[in-house]
Amino acid sequence: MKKFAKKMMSLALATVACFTMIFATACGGNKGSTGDSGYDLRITYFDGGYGQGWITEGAKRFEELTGKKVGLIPSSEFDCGADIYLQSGKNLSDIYIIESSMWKGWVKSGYLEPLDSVYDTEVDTASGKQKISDFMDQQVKGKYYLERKIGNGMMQPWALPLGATPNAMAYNCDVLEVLPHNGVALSEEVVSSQTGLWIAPPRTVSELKAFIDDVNAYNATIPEGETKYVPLGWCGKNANILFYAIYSWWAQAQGYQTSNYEGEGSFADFWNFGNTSGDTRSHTLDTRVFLQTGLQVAIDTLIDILVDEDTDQWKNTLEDVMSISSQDLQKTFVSNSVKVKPVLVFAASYLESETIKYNYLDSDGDGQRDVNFKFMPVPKLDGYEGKDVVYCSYEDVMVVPQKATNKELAKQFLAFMCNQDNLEMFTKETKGCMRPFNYDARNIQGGNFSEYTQGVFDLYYNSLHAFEYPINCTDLLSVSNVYRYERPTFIGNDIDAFVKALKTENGRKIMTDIYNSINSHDVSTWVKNYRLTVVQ
Amino acid sequence: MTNSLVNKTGKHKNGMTRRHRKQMIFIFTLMLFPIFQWLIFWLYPNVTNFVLPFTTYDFFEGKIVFVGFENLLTEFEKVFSTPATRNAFLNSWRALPINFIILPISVIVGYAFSKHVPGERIFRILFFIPSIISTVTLVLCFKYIFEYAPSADLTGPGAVLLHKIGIDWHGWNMEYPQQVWPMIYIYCIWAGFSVNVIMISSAMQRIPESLIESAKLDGTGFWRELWSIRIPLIMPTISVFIINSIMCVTSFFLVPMTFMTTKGPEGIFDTFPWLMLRHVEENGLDPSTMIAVSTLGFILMIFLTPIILVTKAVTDKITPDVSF
Repeated sequence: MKKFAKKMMSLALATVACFTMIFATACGGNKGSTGDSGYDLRITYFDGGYGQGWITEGAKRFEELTGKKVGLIPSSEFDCGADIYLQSGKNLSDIYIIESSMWKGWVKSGYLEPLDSVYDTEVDTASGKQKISDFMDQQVKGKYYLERKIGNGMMQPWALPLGATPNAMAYNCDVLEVLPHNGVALSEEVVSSQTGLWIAPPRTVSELKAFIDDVNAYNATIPEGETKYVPLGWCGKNANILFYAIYSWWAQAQGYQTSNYEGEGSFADFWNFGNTSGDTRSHTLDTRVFLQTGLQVAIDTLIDILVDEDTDQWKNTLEDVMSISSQDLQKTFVSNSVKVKPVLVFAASYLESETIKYNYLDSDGDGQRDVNFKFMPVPKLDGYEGKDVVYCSYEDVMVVPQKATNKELAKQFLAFMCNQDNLEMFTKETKGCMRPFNYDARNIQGGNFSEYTQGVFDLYYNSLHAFEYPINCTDLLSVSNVYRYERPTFIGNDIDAFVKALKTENGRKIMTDIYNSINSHDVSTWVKNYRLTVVQ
Repeated sequence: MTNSLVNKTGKHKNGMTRRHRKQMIFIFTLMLFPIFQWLIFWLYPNVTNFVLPFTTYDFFEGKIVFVGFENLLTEFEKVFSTPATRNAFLNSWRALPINFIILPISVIVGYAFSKHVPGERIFRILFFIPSIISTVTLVLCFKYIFEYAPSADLTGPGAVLLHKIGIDWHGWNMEYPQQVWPMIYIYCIWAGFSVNVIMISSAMQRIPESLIESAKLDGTGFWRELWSIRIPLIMPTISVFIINSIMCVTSFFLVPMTFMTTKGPEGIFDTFPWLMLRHVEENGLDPSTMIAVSTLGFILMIFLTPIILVTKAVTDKITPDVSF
């Protein structure tokens, strides 16, 4: 019996070992994106604010054109979890559509395929055939270029931009229409001289402050138990929403492309971090850009609106502003299910589509929106005479892995999606999101865009776009490697510390502290990594 | 024909019978794969983690180069000079007081279970529920119970209760770390002590009944029995618990990360493991990131190693030399 048990045990162990070996060998080999998946082209995309309609329709059109089968894999992660697959080179999709800047690290590691041929492909536009590189928004194009190896002098495009997202403000039309103005007479364009009511949202910072005072006065007349209002909503848990105003005011004060302050550079120059060399092996760094006067003006303007200087507490906003997220903010703005609502909020162009997605728009289920709202520009600084400046994001991209099974088909798909027809399809399916190409979304037939989206279009096509890129650098090699690979923002990397400092400090002190912190902790790493010469 | 290697007794020249040799070959073959796995998945990563902190990644040459102690000294200096890194480092050690609060509670509860107090079975089920539910699920439940964001119509019953008893609770608000951290402690203690109760009560049940009975005959009371008899006899288990508690410093991140989602100004909610995770999340798995992360881990190891060695020596010294 004992011998039998021993034999059985040996047999069992041998069986386990065999199966383990089989599974181990099954892990090997390069399955790639086709083969047993049944698709000719496999695309993994972040399933976020853009929704699925555009990629589903795009895949369908591509299949009809080429006869190739396209497989779509949604992902809940901003980077589609691609890192692991790229590193291993196994089970790769042919295209990754991500909302993350991680692709620059993937280029350094050799995981991505350069897209020179895509950028050189001619596509159909309203003005005839054009190369994608010419059809793209020329200010934005340089963002997607990197050297495969730093210092080799060959800039190549590695990603294709997906969306162009304007970020500004939104206002509650229902409250605006009944809001009386008390105080210094304002322009007929914003306050009716006959009714004394607001008829348009504030256009300047002075008008904004008057609007805030009027909302506070109006709120005081609302009986207890009814919905109350605060002038301005933002969210402490996603405080980079404050950048929407800061970037706009900063560019206005500092000068968008030409500096208003001698020796400081313009808003656009900030993003080159003091580099003066056109050779990536000899870039320079001057951190005094963090002390730009226009930036301090922007921060002080924000502090003046949001912080009570007597109590160092937040004012003109929701009481628990530091506890709410961007989603919570959307809910407070558009839904009647909350007791305190902001009349103005910092908002992105996708506010409406996200609130539809989360079912915030009609909380009482009566078939009507709880709140009518529209998009508006950030009010201009007093004395600024130029165009509106709107902060735009271009961080969503499409990339092709270097080890993808069907690279050529992937590139063909990317180019196909840049035809004007498909750009317009993208805008329609995403209910108003644009791509950074030279087409006018306002001319799209059959778009049925809401008033909110039409406001987004009006602002996008009639404004200066403030974004993180040194647009004054026409030579790609003269764009600082600190920008290319580190992408620091004006606050360094601690947004929460910046928000905390808003309550107790002024713009000059805040930026001086950030400047000192960057000099102490980041500069040495940047100098070592990118062989920079510090200019100070 | 006889095999010249086999002597007259049937044993092989090196002392093995043929049967024995076959068995050894079989065992060796069986062990090959796990040994191979250990080399690839344990030895190689750990050796690499030990070597990487002494290197840097040359972005221009695209290769890793040896730089000696430069990385370690830079990061070490940051631990003391940079508020964000310093806070992350110090917050990691919060795992220690949490576990040292859990220990006496676990011992008392484990003792109660071993004494079969009334309702023991129900209490066992209630105490073990947190340990069988996913940490993230449990944290989110706890978070929503104490959520306080009235603007977004989010007020949990726990927040209502706290306000009713006069505590001005501001919710999971990064401006009030002095409120948030104690709540995180309460959660960790509630969710963390059940597994230790199992461990302690199992250790106590191994104690021979004869010892306990003889103590009772000598007139030993309830608490005296715990202090003078049970605790000394389960010291090996307690010392394992203490060592594990110290090791928790290296993995204390999931709970503060799930509660707060943001590290807070100057990293007031940050921990070293969370800092390492963010490095990877933000920069991917390229060599420079792995070097940065390994360096942080190495620094933590520099502090932890002597503490663990000293703790082990002390617990060995105070553990009575008995076996049963």
